Order: sequence, then C-alpha cells, then structure tokens
Amino acid sequence: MTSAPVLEVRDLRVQFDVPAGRLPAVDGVDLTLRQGEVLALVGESGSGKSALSMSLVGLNRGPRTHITGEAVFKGRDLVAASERELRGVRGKDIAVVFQDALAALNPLHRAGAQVSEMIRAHREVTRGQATSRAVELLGEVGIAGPDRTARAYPHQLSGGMRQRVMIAMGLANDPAVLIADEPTTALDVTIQAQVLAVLKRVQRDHGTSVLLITHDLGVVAEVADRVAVMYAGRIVEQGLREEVLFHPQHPYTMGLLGSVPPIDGPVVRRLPTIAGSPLTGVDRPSGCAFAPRCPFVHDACAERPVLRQRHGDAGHLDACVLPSPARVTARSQGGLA
Amino acid sequence: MTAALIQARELRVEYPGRSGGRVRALRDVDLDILQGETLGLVGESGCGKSTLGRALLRVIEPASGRIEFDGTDLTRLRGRQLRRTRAELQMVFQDPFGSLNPRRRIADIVAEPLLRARGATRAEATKTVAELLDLVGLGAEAGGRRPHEFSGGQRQRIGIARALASSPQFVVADEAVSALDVSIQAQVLNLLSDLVRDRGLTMLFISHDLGVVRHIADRIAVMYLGQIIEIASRDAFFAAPAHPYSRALLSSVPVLRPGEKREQEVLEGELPDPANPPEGCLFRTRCPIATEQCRTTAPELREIAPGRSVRCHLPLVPTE
Repeated sequence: MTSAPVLEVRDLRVQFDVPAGRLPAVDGVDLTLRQGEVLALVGESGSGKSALSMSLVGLNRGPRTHITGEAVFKGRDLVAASERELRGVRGKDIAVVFQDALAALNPLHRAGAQVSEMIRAHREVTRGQATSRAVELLGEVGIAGPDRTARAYPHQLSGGMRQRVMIAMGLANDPAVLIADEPTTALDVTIQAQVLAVLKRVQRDHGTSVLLITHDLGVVAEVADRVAVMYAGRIVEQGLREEVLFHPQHPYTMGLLGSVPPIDGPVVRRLPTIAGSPLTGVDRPSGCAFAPRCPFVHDACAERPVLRQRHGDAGHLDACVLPSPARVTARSQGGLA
Repeated sequence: MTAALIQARELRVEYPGRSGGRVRALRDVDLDILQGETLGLVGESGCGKSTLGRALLRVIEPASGRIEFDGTDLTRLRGRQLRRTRAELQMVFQDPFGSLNPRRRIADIVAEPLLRARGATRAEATKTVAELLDLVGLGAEAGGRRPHEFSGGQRQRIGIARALASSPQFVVADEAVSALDVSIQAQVLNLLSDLVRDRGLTMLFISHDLGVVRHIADRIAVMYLGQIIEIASRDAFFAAPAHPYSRALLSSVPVLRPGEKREQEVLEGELPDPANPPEGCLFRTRCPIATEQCRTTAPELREIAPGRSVRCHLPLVPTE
C-alpha cells in the first residue's frame, strides 16, 4: 500500500559560494514524501541533508546560495515561490523542528507565548483562544504541567522540555509536513526515548508526514517508515526501513551500518571502518561520489550511477553499479548480514 | 587479581550553587581502576562523569577525599612532584576544535607534555613526536601544519598523540569520539584500542554512548547524580544490568534490529536538581520499583557478586 505523495522533490541542487568556488551541497536529488509517513534522511556531517531540508522552506536562501530544481507541495513549486509566499507556508503547512531548541526559541518570550504566536501568525483567532490552544498543545506533547510550562522562559526549561515546546510550535497549525532536523541529537538517551515517543504519537494522531533528518541509525530504526541515505549531496540508497537497514545494497550504507558498535550481539575486536573521510570540498568526482572510499571501486564507477531499483525489492533503490554477488561479499565485510 | 592503579576514596567535588549553597557534583565516590584495564564510565549529562575524570587528574580540586596513584596520594602532591606525576596521567578531550591551540604547529602541540613534564630535550621531543604522528596514522609531515588544516577525526588523532607523548600510565578519554561521524568514530576507536593494548595503558573511557563503551571497555561503571550506582564486568552488565537505572538506560538506546519495533522501557521524569536531591535513594523519584525503604534509607554501593557492585535495595540480579 502506497499513500499519496505530499511533497515531490525533483533534481534539487543547492550550491553555496565558498572561497574555493561553488560547493555542491545538494547535487541532484529526487525524493518523494508520502502522506502520513516518516521518511528519514540519513547521512554524516556535510552530506547535504540539512541543506536539502532547509531549501524546501527557503531557510537557506541568500546571495551566496544557488537553488535549482523543483519541490512541489500542493501543486506549488517551493523553489520558485517568493519569500512572501513561503512565509504563508512555513509554520502553517510545513513546520520545522530544529536540533538546538535553546537557540531556536526566543529567550525573552515565555514558552506558551511562542506557541500561541505561531497560531496567531497564521489564523484568525483571539489572543485568549490562541493561549488556551497553546496550553493544550503543550499537554499533547507530554508536558506534565502545561500551564506552568507555558509561563516559563526557555532557559528555565530542561533540554527535553524545550524540544517538546519546539514540537508543540511545529504542530500549532496542524501542518501537513513536519521537518525535524536532528530533533533528539542534543538529548540524553532516556530523554531522547521520551521525545521520540511523543513524535511518533503526534505523527500518528495527526497523520502528519515527517521528514526526519538524522545521523543516528538507531533513531532511524526506531521511528522511520522509509529511509533515504545521502552521501556527498546525493541519495545513494532509498527504501523501506527494514530493507535499507537489514538488506543494504550500497557499499556506503553497508559501511555505515557496520561502523556502529551495537549494544548486544558479539563484540568484535576491530570495528569495520570506511577508509578516508567524506568529501567536503568543491571538487567532486564526475562518477560515483563514494568511489574514492569504496573497497569495490572498478572501471564502471567512473560514470555517475543513477538511483534506481537494481537488486533490491520493489521501491528499494540504489546508486551503485556493483553486481549482485559482489554485494553479498560487501555486506558480510560491512559487518551486517 | 590485578592491582588497582588508581584508587579514589570518598572523593567529593562541590560547586557553588545559585542560592549560596554548595552543589555536590561528586558524592563521596569510591572507585578502583585496575592496572591495564579500560573502565567505561557512563551516565547522562550532569551525572558527574566528566567531573570524576577531571578530579582524578586533579584538573578539578576535590573538596575532600583521596586519590591514590601507584601508592601516592595525588591530592597531597604540590609543585614539581605534581608536575612529574602528571606526566603519568593524561587526557583526551571531546572537542577536536576547541582543545588544540590554533596558532601552534602540530609538532609543538604534541611535544608540549614531553618538554614540560618529562623535561625532554628538543631533539628527543622531535624524534618522539614524529614517531607518535606516525603511530596515530597522520604521518610525521603533519607536524609542520596547524590544526585548521585537519578534519575532526584527524584532530582527534592529534589529541591522542599529545596525550601519549609523555608515555603516561593512565589516560582519561572524555567523550573522545562523541563529536565524530560514525565512519570516522570507528577508525578512532580502533586506534584507541590498539594503543591501549600495545602500550599497556590503563584508561578511563567516559561516554554517553553505550554501544561505544561496550566495544572498548573491560568493566562498566554507571553514575547518577554524582554517585556510582553500579560497577560490573562488561559482559555481566550488558547481559543483565543490576540497577533499575542501568536497565532503563540500556532500554532507551535505539537499536538496529530487524523485525517489530521493540517495547522500550521509557523512563519518566528528568534528573532531579542536584542542588536539591531527593532523600533516601537518589534515583527513587524516577524508579519504577521504588518502595518505602528507598524513600527513607539511602542504599550503599555493595558487592552482590564477585566483581559486581550495585547501589540498590532491590537489585535486578540475584545476590550471591
């Protein structure tokens, strides 16, 4: 069963002017977010996952940023939309939850006021209605004393509480899409578990489509329905959570999964590693971007591989020209069966 | 039975609190770190694990208590004696960007502990630095460059080379791989475990990441609100944690496992205010199995099986 697309990204490119030239942060991405799903965008620092998501809501526009391609939401291309049009979309139809809630919240306003402000920015309601809805929302995200929290300033709240306030703000206008950019990265594991549970529950109750940006494969396993793996601005693998995490097709995904020391199962003396370090400069290979680090690199890798279904199940796409038997070997070396 | 290289006894660290009182960051911690072992120290933000690591090296002055290193009480050392002993005790920091002086060359950064604490000559230092940079996989030519020319993972290797320069016996690694991406983290972890083995190092490995700790540590100590609440061998701990907090901590870690998403034990509430801790057991306000006894009587850290201690009236594993 496949639900309807909510957001369709086509050949998205985001380039930043840097002293050395133009940095291709997002290098031709096609991606579809479907109704009611949690799609995890996974990658390491500099892979372009945040640049991609921020460009969807126009948060990285500027004289040094060049964005091309399409991001179609409700029949409208967000890449071509004016800043004025985007202001009507942001926080209403598409909301963003950031990693660093302390920086994202206004330190001078009480938590409740920030949530009600979000409601009033997009809806014709009275101040009183917005205030009581804000308290309701704070309760919905699992805050035990929502009245008290509504009156608190951000610095008086713990990291977990601040992140809940961010989620309440995100949900304020019942958005179709919630972009959550590393929402639990700054939190301790017990608090992360609480916040992920809240995120899962509100997503289910509201039928919100969530684009979850994360570097943490454990978080992906916990909450995602589908996964897209990014490397050097490109999606190298995409599919259902179960498929990508447990039957990875791309050597980068295999390497990434193998590098995570698990909390159960046998302890290996040496962790499998990926040689070298990620591409961060302006120069990118014309072929496969992972080729310089790939143990299976061969002549065919000189040409840029397209993302399509190759050896995985339906809907499981990868951008690797490796034939099937070599993938089996690669998977065993990555440390994951 | 391996002898302890470091023995902390009733170690207490206090900070001035907001309203004039004292906040206790370490509550009379007793800890033995055995010769040649890697002890993993885990716990959440604010539990005191970094404070403990720093107090053991006397980077933070304890309010009271003793730290015996190889038979001498570190808390009584002053001046030259302290400097000489410090050569044996080194630290690898979390932040690969903040912990290296941006104006200095890598060779000078790595040589500093050698020149200061060991009184090496320039020529000796130059030779050792070249060897160390090779050892951590950067190559001797890295010595002429400056920190900004290196990536996060490479800087962490520089931090490791610096920590090893004075040939210490004991190293504290405080979240040493936490800021790194997983593919780079695995490289640095492998390097650390090779060095520990080859050089016979004793290490206190502080981390919030239980998978990483399980990979590298021989024994595990868990902290909560300035106390050690459990100590066990790695295998015993991960097979069956004895403290309810340890169990909740393990259960909160998202795991990569096929099949149905598992039932997590989600711990309610947050860490109590350390300036105003609960009476009795410090964990009882969040503990799913707390009883009246836990409210009235603070549990002691007691040995429940050989090599296994827990601070709980109702440990989750049978007592021998």
